[in-house]
Amino acid sequence: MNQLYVWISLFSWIGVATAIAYLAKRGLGEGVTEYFLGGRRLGGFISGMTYSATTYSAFMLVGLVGLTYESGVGALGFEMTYLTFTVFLLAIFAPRFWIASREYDFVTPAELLSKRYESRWVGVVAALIFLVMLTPYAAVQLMGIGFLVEGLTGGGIPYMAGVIIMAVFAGFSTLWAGMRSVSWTDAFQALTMLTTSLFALFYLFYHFFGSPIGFFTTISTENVDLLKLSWDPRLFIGLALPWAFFALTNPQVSQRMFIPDRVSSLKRMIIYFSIFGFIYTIISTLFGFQAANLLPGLTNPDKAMPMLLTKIPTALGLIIFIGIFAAATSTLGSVILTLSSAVSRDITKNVAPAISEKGELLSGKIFIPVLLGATVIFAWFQPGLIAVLSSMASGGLLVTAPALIGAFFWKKGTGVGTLSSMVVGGALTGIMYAAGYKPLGWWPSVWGLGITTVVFVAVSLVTTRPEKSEEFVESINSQVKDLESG
Amino acid sequence: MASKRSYLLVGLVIAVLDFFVPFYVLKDVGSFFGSYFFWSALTLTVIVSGLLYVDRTWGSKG
Repeated sequence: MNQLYVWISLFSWIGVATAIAYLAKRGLGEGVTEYFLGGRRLGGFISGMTYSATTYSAFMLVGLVGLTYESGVGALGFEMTYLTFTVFLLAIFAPRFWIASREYDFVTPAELLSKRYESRWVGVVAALIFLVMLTPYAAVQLMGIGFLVEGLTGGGIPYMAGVIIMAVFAGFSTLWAGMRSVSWTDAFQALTMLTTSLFALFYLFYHFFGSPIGFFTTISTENVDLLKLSWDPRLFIGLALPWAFFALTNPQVSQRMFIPDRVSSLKRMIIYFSIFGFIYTIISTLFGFQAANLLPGLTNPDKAMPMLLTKIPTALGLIIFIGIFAAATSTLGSVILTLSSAVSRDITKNVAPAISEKGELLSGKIFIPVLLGATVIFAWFQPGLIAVLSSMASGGLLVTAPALIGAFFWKKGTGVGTLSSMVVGGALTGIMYAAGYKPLGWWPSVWGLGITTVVFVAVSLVTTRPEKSEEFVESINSQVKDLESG
Repeated sequence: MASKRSYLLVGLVIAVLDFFVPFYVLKDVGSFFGSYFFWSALTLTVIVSGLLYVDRTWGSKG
């Protein structure tokens, strides 16, 4: 594809997104809550779209397409497992997070842990875990775009050019107006992602297979092996388990449970996200089957989607390219903003409690370009297969799951129990991933969750319970009960 | 707390179905009506039930 077309479409889209970010900035107020949570004043549609665009990233149309191309229906199962558990967890935890954030003025998920377990070090350690685990995840977004522009232009636009343009745009739109600019551009990005991919999917159905039915018939006869489940069950559990808890353990999404302006908006956020997630997952996996039929024999499955784009008319290819760029940029921007809030609120504020609100906010803003620089360097080294790398990030974050669940449902959970579970579980999981060690064939995420849970429970039982733990759990649960009884 | 036990039970049932049916019942079915359909249908069922639960139980406040 002619690289000039790619440049023109990229900069046109960036222009529109910038105008939206500008409009969002006009309503920006002062202070940390305003910057990092949009003042908790977002409506249901914007909340649902930012939740969707943050969750679904370049992984879907690059990594998941590649995974389906390579291994078939297991890829759908892995992603649907994520969605199933997310809807389930949101129905239980979204009202709790939402109520707690208002009652206790939480800005970040690590702050929730810190205040619930009455230990500032819980907040610092949780924030550090988020930073260590999400930096590669953020870099994966850059890598997705790097691969895409390189594949699409036959190397005309180098990998690193794609990486740097995206990093600069994401940094700019994040810094400009925090959550307001991120969520507004996310809404635009989510709509771009869905409409462009649907359009291309149907084009491919009709152009190469005659019709959608023709496509299903062709795959069922020519690529029948991809429809049989060939995954090792232990691989499936190892990859799916961290994603099943993604809604709780990934701060860039759990923080979004804080932002809707009212309960009805929170409800609509879940509804819009569920519908979006289901459709987008089906689309992504069908692209994978299309690529497997049309482009057999690729050695790097992550290149299946970029190669598929070369089979369609230029205009359509550009539209899809923009959709993927939007998906990656929205996730990157949200992750960067969340990590910046963690630095500001959970590290700076806990280490220097006397700091002013302005100083706290400034520390977070300064961190945005620093973190982006780190992700660019990471992307430069191009580590591993995208799907495995994304799952590894969630695997590491899984060590916060027992403490987060315990925060609302287990009064006996303690600060020491939380700290030791995150430190011991985090260290062991990290070592196992780094060494590629899978005891008895089970993935590090499985061991990590088990070890973390055991340590959290055991240490909590022998240490002193936080003074106000009972008050916290009872207050939140009784408010949820009130809410549920109308 | 009764709701805590029911959450756990529902979560376990979903997990068991999500894993065992595709891996041990539909493993060799070479059709979109095998694991592909099952996982999609299970997810859709959870989504619809979850949304009905949220819509009916989260009252009319705000």
